[in-house]
Amino acid sequence: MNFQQKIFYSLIFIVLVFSFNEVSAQQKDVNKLTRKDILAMDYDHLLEMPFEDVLKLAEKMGVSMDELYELLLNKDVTAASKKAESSFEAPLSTTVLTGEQILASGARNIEEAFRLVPGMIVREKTTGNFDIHIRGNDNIPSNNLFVYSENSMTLVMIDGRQVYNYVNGGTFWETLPVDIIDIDRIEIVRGAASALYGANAATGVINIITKRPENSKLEVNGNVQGGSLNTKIANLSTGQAINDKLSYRVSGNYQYMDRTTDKLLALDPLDSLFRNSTVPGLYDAYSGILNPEELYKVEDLFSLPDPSLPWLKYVNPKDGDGSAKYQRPEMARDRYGVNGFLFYDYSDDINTRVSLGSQYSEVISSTYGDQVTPLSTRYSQTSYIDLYTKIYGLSLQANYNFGWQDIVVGDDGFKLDLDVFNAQAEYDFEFGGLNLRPGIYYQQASQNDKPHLDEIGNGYLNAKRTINAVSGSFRADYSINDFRFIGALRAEKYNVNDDVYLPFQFTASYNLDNAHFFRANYARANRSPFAVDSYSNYDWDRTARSFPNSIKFVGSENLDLAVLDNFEIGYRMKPTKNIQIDIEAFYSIARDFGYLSPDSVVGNFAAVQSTQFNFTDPNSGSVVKIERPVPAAGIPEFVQMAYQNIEVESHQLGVTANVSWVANENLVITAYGTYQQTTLKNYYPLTTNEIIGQMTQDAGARLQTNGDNALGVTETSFFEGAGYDAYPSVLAYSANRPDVTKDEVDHEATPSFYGGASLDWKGLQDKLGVFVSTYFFTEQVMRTQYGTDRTSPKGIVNTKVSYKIYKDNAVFVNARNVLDNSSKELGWMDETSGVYMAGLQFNF
Amino acid sequence: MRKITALLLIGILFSTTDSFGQTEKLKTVFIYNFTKYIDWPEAKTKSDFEIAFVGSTPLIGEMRQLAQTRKVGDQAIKIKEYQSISDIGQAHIVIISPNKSSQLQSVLNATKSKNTLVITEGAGLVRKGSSISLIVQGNKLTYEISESNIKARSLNVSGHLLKLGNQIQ
Repeated sequence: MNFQQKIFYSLIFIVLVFSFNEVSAQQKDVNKLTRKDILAMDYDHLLEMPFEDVLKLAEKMGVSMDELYELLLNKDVTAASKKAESSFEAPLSTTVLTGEQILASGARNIEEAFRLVPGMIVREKTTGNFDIHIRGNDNIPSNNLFVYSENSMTLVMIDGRQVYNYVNGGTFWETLPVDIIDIDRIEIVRGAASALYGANAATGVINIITKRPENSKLEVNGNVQGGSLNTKIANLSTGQAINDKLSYRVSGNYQYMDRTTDKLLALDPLDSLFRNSTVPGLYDAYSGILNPEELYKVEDLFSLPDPSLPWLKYVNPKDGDGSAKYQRPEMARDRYGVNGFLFYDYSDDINTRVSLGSQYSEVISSTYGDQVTPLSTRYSQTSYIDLYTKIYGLSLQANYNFGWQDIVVGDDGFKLDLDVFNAQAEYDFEFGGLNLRPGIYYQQASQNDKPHLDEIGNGYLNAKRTINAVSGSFRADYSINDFRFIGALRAEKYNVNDDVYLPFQFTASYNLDNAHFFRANYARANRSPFAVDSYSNYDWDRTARSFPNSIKFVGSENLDLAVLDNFEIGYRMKPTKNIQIDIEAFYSIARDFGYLSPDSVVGNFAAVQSTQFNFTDPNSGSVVKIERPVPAAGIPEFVQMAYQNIEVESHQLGVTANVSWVANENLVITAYGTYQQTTLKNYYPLTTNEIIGQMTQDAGARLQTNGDNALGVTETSFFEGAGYDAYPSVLAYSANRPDVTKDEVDHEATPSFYGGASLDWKGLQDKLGVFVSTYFFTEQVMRTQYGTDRTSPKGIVNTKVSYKIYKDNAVFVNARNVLDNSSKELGWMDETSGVYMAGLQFNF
Repeated sequence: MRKITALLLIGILFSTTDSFGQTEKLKTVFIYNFTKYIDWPEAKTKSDFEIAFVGSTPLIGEMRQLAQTRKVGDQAIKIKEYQSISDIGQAHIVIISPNKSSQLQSVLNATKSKNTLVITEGAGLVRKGSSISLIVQGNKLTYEISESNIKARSLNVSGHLLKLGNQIQ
């Protein structure tokens, strides 16, 4: 063999060896193939393999990054248009939080999870109890009860069932029967959406969608944790698909958390009234008894020594030592809930779901009443049954929600029986690219305080009061090429308001090459009437307390309902496959707010000199001669507080940006922020008590000039011993609300900049999970009848680290507000503190 | 210095490119394998084997590549892209891209009596009527399948294919 032959045969040998290796690689057990081998395989290899082996390869290879991006960046959403779609193509400002994401984040409850959502303002009031707003518009009207800072402009639903509070608007978050373990996903739509969802979807809609069992074997999932502030949280769920048609799920949840203190702030809402009193020395005598900077123990507050004027009391003497109002002053939240879900899928086109559940909750949180402390206790026991059926294009839903609530425990008149019934039918017609969806809706919400009153007259309503609404809606959704147009109109008629409300929505969107998406939206939404606004009929006897001696609250059945107009433009883009940027700019005008405010005041006037004048008794018509006092001193004796519309308008201009970055399969980073400016036009700067004070002065001035507003001589001994004994006291009224200059002011209660960021990392073959999140907001100034309270800018950091010890069973540590930033997050509410917990997550 | 930081950040942001488009290939192989386990009625075995797409997806390109070298039985593979629901013809398989999942019901209606296998991508779609849906479960590609949904289209499916996937009932 010559050299050339040697070379030739050597080459053949080498080629053969490599060929053989190649063949053996292909025939190698798929279990032995590396990910790299799989990635290198071409169609010929893949198509020759048995399907079982292809499946094994798929398992070994894992999901491609493309898919991961889609999964993490574009979750499906239904809430934005009532049609399932990728959130990249959602026509409104939309965010989807998945149950897994919430669990990974370590949020203690559903409310806290909203800190992960762009455009949401989430402030902790007492441990685990949050004030939640979409883009704000809180504390309007200002200078009044604390309740006007609650969010009554966002509609919250669980599986499409409204969980709204029709007593005075808003959501009692602790009364949601479900907890994190029940959540498949939460869909949040920012901006007016009443045309699709009905009243109260003014600043947005939150739909909490629960899980359904997919597995035919019985599954048990749980999550328990405990730690500082006596925190104990437990979630448990079990369920299975019994056969191809029937499946069920049952769950239970429990939460207990302590406040960061067991003391209370004491702020006399009458402070401003005293300050303006015409009784010499009254303010001096009064002021200084309560220190607004000091926290009082309940028993100390309720046994405060009488001030120098013996007729003056700070707290209701009926409250005794306060223990009935604050049975556990250290408790922030104590609640449990149970839920059951039954699914019957007769076929793909005909299926039904029945859900039912119950919850009991006790919280100490911001008060709904008018009292010395900004916190009060609330108890609620509520249940629900919800039926949903889909028959081809027709979807039917009906639910009944019932129970009782004591909104201010220990105060008369705040305990109510609740009955809310909802029924709706919607039908989907498809004609090519056109989708039409007509719907009809009926709602009946009743509140009844009668069974809980010792005496009729002590309650807010003193009767069973019902608000019902009949509505019809029509939505047209048309897609052509990459454009989509949606128009929706709804007509709502309530039993308490003569007007028909017509919320609407128009959106247009354009999807350019799946990497750039543009949208524009114009919508109008309205709030619904509430029981207390419409039907209040409450005599508040304040005898033996600081004046006025009596306040009457009256509702009005013909208030204009608050309306919000919203304009938005949005742009979503994917500069690369793993980054999504979402920008929304919005402008909204909210108007026709209603509030409870004095409309007439009867003053009690003492005189230092007098002349006689004729007084015609309005009841008997008889004319009596009485002393006409030249008022030296006057106090409000009786005040009528009426629900009325206020001219204030809120104009809000803002922009929200959100960036999600899937850095790799183990790391997802999200950052979001909202910058907005809220301006109040026709702002009315007086507090309730300043109005009362000025109206009392007006009554006195008119009494002095011509006396035609006198109502008679009073027997009251109010001025006895105060140097006015020589002349009788006279009652006189005023119905002139002070007409002060209406200003345009910067609304500081809504923060101008807020947002957050999160980092979700998995390592050690998915065994280790680390979730770090931060949330921040800028300074706010809240104005209520208590005065003005400033909240400093704040940022908090949360961290959860979990480690899977066996399959999906993990141990974890969870720290909320890990840096222990204690500053309060909302005016007059508790200071916060870090909460450090450890727990266990199990699935079998 | 700031510039450098910014450049570095941009570098990090854009450096994570998709390293493996292999999943699309696997999906194509999945779909090709489905055809081995599903029987179309006699009348549909004479013409070309038509695979049609609703919505744009990288699968179209992959499937075109596969069609060049492979057949389903004796039938050549023909790829179609539907611009709208009204274009839907006699396809053996209609594949709905993930961003058009909302059109599932319309596609089902339009293909009702045409012995068409409807394939989607995403969890929960088989429950809504899709025959087979490619899903990503626990980081791996697999599929949901419903025997009744396939039978409703007058197609026969092998028990083996049902067993290998996640059966939805």
